[in-house]
Amino acid sequence: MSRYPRARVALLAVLASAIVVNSVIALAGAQPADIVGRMLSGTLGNPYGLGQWLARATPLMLTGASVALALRAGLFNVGAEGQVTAGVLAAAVAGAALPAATPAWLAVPAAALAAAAAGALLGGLCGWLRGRFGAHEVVSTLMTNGLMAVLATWLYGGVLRDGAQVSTRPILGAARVPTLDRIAPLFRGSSLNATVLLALAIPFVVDRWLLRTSAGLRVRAVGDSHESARAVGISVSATYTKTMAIAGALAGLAATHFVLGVKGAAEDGLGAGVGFAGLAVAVIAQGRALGLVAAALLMALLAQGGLVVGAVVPADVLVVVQAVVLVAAAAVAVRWHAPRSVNP
Amino acid sequence: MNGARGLRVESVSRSFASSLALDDVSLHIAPGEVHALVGENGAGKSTLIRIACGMIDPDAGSVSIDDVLLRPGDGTDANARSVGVVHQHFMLVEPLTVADNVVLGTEPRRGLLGLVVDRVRAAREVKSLSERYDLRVDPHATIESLGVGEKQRVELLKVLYRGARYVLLDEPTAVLSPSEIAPLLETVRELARNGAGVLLVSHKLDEVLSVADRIMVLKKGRVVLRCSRNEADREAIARAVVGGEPEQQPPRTSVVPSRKPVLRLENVVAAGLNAVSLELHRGEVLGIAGVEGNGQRALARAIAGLDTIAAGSVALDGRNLRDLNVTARRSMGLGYVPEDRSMGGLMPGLSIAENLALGDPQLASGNSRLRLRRLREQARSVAARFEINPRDPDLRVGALSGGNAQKVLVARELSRTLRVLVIAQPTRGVDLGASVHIHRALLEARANGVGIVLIGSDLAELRSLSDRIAVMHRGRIVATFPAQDATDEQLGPLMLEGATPKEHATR
Repeated sequence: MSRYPRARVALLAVLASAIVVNSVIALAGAQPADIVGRMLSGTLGNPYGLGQWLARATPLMLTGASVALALRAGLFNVGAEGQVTAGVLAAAVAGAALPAATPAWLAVPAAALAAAAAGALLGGLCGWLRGRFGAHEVVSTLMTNGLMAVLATWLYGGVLRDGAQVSTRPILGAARVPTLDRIAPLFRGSSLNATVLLALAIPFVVDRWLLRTSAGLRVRAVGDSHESARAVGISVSATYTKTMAIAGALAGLAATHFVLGVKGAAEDGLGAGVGFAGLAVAVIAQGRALGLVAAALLMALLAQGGLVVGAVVPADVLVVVQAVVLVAAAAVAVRWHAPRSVNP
Repeated sequence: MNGARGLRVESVSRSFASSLALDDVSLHIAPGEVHALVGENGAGKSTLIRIACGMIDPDAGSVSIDDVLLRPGDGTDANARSVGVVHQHFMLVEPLTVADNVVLGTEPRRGLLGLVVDRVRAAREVKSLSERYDLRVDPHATIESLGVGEKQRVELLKVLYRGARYVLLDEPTAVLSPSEIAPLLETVRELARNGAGVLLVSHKLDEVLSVADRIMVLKKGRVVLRCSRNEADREAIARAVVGGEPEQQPPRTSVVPSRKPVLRLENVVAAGLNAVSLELHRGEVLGIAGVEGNGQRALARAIAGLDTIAAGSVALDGRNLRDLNVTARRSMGLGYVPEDRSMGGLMPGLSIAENLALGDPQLASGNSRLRLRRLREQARSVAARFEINPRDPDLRVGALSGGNAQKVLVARELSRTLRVLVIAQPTRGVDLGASVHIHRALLEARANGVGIVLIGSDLAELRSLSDRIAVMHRGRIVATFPAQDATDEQLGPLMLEGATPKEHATR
């Protein structure tokens, strides 16, 4: 460990990724400096880009927090993807079913709660299966991903289809989450909406809950040693169920961004990918709330930057660039938080 | 060196970290001889085996095989390969067949440049080998389809296939059912008749006396007894296995036996427990002696509520615990310290303060705000009382030394109001200083009226702390003595065979 102190790992990661990124872009026949410059100016360089960047990071903070929470209980929630899909479905159905007179202060929480509940149900089921029957959560959550994908496609193509549209019936106007250009006209045109405030708060709220409440302590105790947790009377299976339900709810809340914020309806493929990206966010974050926000912002920067230069560079090159940067970030993050031993 | 053939271990010593595992031990196995090695867990038997086959190097001393010195670091050379080991834990590739496993690494070849493994020949050779030694097993069966006894036969075939002249068997009968033991012992004899030198590690005196030509007893890394088969004295061996140095008894108040026991077990039947009954009174320490794996762990877990019991009853203060979960039992004043503090004891990734706080059964359910400042203060005062170092309440328990971690665990259980404490191996892997603290804490709890079930393998420790000592053998309590009457002579045969010598003679 002492041979690779934090600073050296960070430096090596930056250097190595810079070399690889440069050569890959150069091999594709483009100017590396030009491409990186465009990626940065297209995201950080103007208000619209900034808004799009933050909008992309919003669901990632939620799915990242979902995966990170489950990890604290020793569970690997590969199912955030399906939980997002379930949330999107539920938010669209609930948002459209609300009576026309429902005021916004009731409509938004109701639709968001429906999304969270759908995710919680899906996640909690997998947690319960693990605690009750020992069915491994990686398998069960992956299966719920597949299940939700097929179910969503079927519903969107059938009963939920709004006439000739590809999307569902639009949700009640009062259930829409306001876009942020009302507060900051700067972001006009971007998808950034108020969900980002919720997403920014959630990693810190979850962290505080884990550290400051007895239920949170139990989650960490079970994650540390379920044998020992059981011996002090903690119900390991109940802890698994609750933790996965909360993790599912967090992932489901991503629908607030997509359905209540951006689209106002649901369609097949809405929110696809953010669940799996949440896995990377959680790994890079290394269990820190601030890390979740930072990792989500990094992922979003790469994704949005990729869109900006998509016309100039082949998509495959961008995938390689994103992967290299993420691996480097993960390496730094892991080393940064490696426990330092007290008495060796 | 006198030039005689054989596997010779000459005055080897070996230490791990700071503890001496072997201290000047010599062992000579001649071809055609069965040599038995007897001793408690932790006596150094496995270390001796690993040194004898070149897996690890001794700190001092030497190993030679048929007069060729085994050089340090030679674990894989041809010389060392003439020594075959069957470990307690099998080392087999589960999805492969018996024949594949046996020949793995030394496969017979055929075809151009020997590029093709000749599996037909492998199976044939394995079959003939298994017939020759009567090690019945189908060469084409996959390992995962086999039972424990068959897997062990495959391990033996592996050793024989490689042409080992010396065969070291690490507690081979521990995993076998009684009907499988006799054939194994016959194989051991057959190996010796064919000129192999065999080392047999066993706890069971009957087996040892029935096959061994010579017997050696290890205790705390030293040879305490050597004898040949004709001079072997059953009692002397048992005494040597369990015997310890005489210890001084700390002064204690005597127990005033209450009319009602604080803990009572009646005919408890569970996995590993066979109709166990016991009574424990306020302010009493009941020691549970026994060779490990005779139901002690099951007893502790049954009382703690971690395993369900099939029949019988466990009562605390006269109340049947049958339908009470762990939390309810802990709320009634039951404490539990398992034998392995990292598996079922502490949460190494959590802080000292958090580990101590989790001892409170009220935290096991419901939700409440943690008063972090108060938890830290409490942790500081507990750490001071139990002399846990360093005294930082936010330090991860995993960063503590073994002794300090054990003090955290004992402190967690003893720092609330207890009626009964079940504690197993309280000072295993713990340095002397911490042991003294833990012993003092236990006696203090006893003086405060806590009833203690103390499960241990260190007889000296058991005798010095206990008021009574019960002996467990094969899941039952076979005898209970006042601690002062529990001599090594009394306990030894009971622990090893479940009966006193007299009973044994009449049986």
